[in-house]
Amino acid sequence: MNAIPPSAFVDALPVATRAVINEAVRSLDFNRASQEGRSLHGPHHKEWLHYCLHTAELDIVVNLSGTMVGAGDGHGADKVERAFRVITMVRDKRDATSGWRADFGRLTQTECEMPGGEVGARFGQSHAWFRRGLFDLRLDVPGLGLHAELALLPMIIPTQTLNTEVHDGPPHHWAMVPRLLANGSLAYEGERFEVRDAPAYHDHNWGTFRFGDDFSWEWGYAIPSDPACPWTVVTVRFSDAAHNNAHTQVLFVWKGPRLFAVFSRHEVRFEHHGLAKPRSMVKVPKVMALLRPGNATDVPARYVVHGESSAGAVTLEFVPDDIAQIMVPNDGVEEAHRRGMTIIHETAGAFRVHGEAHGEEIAFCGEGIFEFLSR
Amino acid sequence: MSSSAASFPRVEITTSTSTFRELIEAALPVIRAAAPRFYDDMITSLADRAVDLQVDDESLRLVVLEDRVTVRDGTRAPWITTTGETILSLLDAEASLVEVMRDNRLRIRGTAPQLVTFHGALMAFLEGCVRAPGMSARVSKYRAHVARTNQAGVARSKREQTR
Repeated sequence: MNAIPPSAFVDALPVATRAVINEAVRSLDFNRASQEGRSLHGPHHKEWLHYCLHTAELDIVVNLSGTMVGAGDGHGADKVERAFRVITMVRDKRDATSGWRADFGRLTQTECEMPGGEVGARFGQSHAWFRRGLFDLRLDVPGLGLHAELALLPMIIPTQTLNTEVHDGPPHHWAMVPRLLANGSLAYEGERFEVRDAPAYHDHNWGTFRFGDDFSWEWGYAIPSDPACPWTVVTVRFSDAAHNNAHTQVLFVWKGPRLFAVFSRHEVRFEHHGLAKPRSMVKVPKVMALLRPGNATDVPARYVVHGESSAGAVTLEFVPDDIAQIMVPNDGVEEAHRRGMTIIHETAGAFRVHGEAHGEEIAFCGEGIFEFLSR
Repeated sequence: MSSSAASFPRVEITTSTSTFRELIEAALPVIRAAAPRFYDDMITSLADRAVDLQVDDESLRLVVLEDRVTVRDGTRAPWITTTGETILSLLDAEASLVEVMRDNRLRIRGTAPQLVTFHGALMAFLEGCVRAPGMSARVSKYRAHVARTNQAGVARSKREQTR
């Protein structure tokens, strides 16, 4: 493997800022549970790493999760163990009919390393480790014909959001590196691509909750495809399952490496317009199509997040094109919440951000990934 | 290698295979342990009516005996018939249940109550499977069995054609 050429923007930030970013990644993005899943957070602990990448041709999403399952979860198993799962999704933007293709894998303890205190993980032949200021992301997914060797350079000081209420149980925690630049090479279905300063996103989540409990979330990011554009926006909303009562709702705006404006609570408004009629919809894992056939979804045709405060007013609009339904069997506390599925809609489409904050005009567009949960 | 063998479709065959009956027999106790509420749903669905099915040349009957879903030898009159390839198409989301019924890859000849029984038991079985550990490995073994069976079928067909 040839050495990956560095990002053209590697020196775009002052040395001191780069040092702050590196230290923040190490101190915020480390694995909370041990390799075996032992944690301060009790049974049903979940921890997952999420990486998204947008080249000119492809969108790629990788999600690695470690979930405690077994005794005490009401499923009758006689021991507690950590179940590792990895989902890799690829969308070829050159073919409007292709939609998402997904690979779903369950890994054993020996096939996966997610050691406590470390930043990153190995999952099968793939890995994502933070080394010398870069995320070394290697993807080897034969089921998709995907192989990638990439170096992801963080461009924003990571943010951590702790103790988000998701239900009447313990809270959810979230650390994110909202904007990175990816360099390296990848091969997809026999075609090779050189990746140069492609926009990327990474976050890290952990908490103790059960799918099927009374919670839901919406989340998405807007990273401009032009690396020189300074703006980055992320939004998240945690609510009850019916989407009626929000526990937390935020619209983050960064300029360059620093947080520039935050709209939260009553300062932010979420709008769902119509129902999406996606170009394509796939189920992950595929077998779930037997249990939940059809393309019915409550994902909006147009999603608008509007933040307004004394700092200014910023609007994020998103229109989903392709949807993947990641279907997680419910394991809720209450009997009624142990049946059925939680559907995580992973949607890709075009976004537009406009407005002004602290006297500066904000206007950019691009392609983003947004998540919507439903039952 | 003979020329006829060289023209076989390429399939990956592992040394470990399991028949459809072995797949079901292996899955049931795992579902009972890992997803007892869906195992109970299967018992409820099958309590009054057994399901007789034939998959390729395997004939089997699913019946509740002493609060257990049990696999027995099938009858001569299965009311559900299908193939291993069809089952794999369904698992791989290459076809929907409605599609395989429409094009007769899955034939059900029964009364409305029998259809309800089959659908209820199938959905409970699948809900259990997606919560049970190790199911993908078990399906891989069945996948290998179907591939081997189909390869043998192609060889047999070619031999008959050359006679």
